[in-house]
Amino acid sequence: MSEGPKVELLRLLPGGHLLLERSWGQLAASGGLGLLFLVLPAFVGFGHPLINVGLYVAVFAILSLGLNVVVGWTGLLELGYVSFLATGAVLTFNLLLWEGAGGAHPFASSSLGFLAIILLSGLLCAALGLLRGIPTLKLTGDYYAIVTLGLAEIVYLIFLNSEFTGGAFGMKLSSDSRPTLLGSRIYYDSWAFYYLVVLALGATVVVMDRLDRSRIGRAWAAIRLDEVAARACGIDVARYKMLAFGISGFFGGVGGALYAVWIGTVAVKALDVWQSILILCAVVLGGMGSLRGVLLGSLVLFPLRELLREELFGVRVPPEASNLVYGLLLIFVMRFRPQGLLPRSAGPVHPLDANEQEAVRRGRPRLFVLTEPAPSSSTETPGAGGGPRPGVAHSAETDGPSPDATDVHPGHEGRAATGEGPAEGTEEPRPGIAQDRFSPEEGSGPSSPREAGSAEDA
Amino acid sequence: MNDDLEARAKISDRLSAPRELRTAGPPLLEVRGLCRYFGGVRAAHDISLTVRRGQITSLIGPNGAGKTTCFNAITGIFPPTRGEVVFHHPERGPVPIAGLRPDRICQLGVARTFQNIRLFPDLPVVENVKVGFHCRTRSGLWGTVLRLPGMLREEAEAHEAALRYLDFVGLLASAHDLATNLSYGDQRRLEIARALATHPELLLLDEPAAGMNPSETEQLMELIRRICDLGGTVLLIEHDMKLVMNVSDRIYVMDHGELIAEGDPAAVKSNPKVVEAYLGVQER
Repeated sequence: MSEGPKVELLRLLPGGHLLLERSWGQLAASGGLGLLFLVLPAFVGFGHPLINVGLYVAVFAILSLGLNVVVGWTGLLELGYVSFLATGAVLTFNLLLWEGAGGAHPFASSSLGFLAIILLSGLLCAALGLLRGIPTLKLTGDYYAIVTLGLAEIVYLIFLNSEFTGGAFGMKLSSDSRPTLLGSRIYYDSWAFYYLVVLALGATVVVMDRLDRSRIGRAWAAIRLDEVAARACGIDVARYKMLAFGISGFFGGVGGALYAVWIGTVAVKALDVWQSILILCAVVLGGMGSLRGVLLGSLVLFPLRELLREELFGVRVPPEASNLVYGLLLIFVMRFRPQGLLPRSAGPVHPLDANEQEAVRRGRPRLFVLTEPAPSSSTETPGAGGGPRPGVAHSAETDGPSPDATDVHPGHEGRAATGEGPAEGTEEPRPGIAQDRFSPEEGSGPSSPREAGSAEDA
Repeated sequence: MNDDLEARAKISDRLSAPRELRTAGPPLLEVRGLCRYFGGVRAAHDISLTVRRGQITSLIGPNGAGKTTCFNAITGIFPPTRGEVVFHHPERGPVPIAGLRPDRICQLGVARTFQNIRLFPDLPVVENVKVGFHCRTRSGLWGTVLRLPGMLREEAEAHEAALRYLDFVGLLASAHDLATNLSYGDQRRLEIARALATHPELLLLDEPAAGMNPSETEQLMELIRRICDLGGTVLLIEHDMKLVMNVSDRIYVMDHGELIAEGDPAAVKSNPKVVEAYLGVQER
């Protein structure tokens, strides 16, 4: 099979086993994208406008991925994401401009200070995300969208009229409040900052990918697809929505901090609702809920925005009109490819692979674990301790004569009674079934050696 | 067609043959004076029933009798207007569950399926079952982000166990298809697999045979029996009289939001009130 060389190749890489479940296409695409970001400076040099576009794409890709948690995975239409961006940016500039004791600018004078800013900004926005979750937790659909839009507008107006944000004038960094990274101040041509942003994007993608393919990602998908069924399956919907709000806010704050340093000035006026819409556009354009889609959407939309600022074929699109272009783009996507450019793949439709078939053959499902008498409790039952193998089938025999006995283990007694009832009736094979359904850790019968082997493999 | 005829013949054979009822265990779920009103509509009024461990208990009644309302009130989809619901947890003893959130009730060990199938259509079949494992696994944010060994082991176990549940209900071959692409009967069985994956003490099935042909119904009957044989307890809402009479150990009959009869299948079948309300036209 085609699995052979890939497995061999990936085992050579440090940590390559983490990539085993990926297809060649996925590996090529993510490797290509990473390489593009990494080697771009080698061709154009730091400080080139293309590097600037690269930074723009990377920062806004982080924001798009953060927004995708709520919009694409949890299924809530979020229209106020810019609040996190603005909060992160404002906090960053305030910390950078803070003179500390004796004008030393503690946050601006060391790499550690800058990294602390990014983290603090993320944490503050995560907290704000949770706080905002309190009034919006029970809302869905349009109502959620309207409330987030309104709250974002409130944040915008407060920021626009506050001292600490520089109000309508915005904030600028002085030369000694510029952040430091690896020993030098960050200016537009800082290589360290460029690679920091690329690294942050890479880390975001990895975190998102892990969330996507986990118990948490499944819980979000369940909430998105059918909230009632999700509840009935034991998912604490409020908790997982809150988790989504917090994570989404965290990456909004991180993106905001990087945005502020990248752009060099914080003008609250520029952080209005259109920024929310723009980020949302990238998510919708690429494909809601699809990581590669959101990355592609960012890769298309944000360079396009930069392109529209330039003079093309002797025509300059007025800045106000550039929104028309995104609008048209979105209309076309919605008309011809409503699921986005690269929609979330539902996974390949394929038959079971050999491993899976082996796994199924290894044992029956463990049903009704709660009633399953644990090995310890079954030794407590009189008579079972001396038996060759404590278990349900056995305790059914011993407890049989007194099925109605009131014991401290009502569940246990019930199981015994039910096990016994039909056994004296028509069907003989019941004890066999009862043995089969033992879980691996109870190590029953012939299946136990294989079970033990598999446990070691895992 | 031939299949159907055979299945029908089989069913009528079973119906005519005397059937031994399962021995009643201690009560697992006790519903006392449950009421649920929607404005002036008494969807369920003063419902009292007991589900005993190890048995298949059925709740039947004409359309609109309030059966699903009872299910919803028991499983917390909405709280009952009045009345109490006590679930006898094997470790914690009796737990009043009326008014608890559905996810808490599910964690305690009461799982359900829905009358109008509620799967996660865009997820693969096996992922649907893994959602059911949610409340029996506990890896959190850090485990997920850092891919800690515990989380990886838990994921592998969940995947394996999900496949076994699919095998149990006979859907293993379509494990990687999308749930929405399954046939109607298969979707119902997938819903049962998902409910089983939550490790329930008590399984509530809301019209599992609706829309099934006789041979699918026969398979379903077999499945419900197997669940019970493996130690499960089932509360069933069903319209298919053959199925109900064939698998149930105890039957409660509702009409116009009230209980009108209860007893074992034979007693219910011959109860004049039931015949009047529900079996109006008796087939045999």
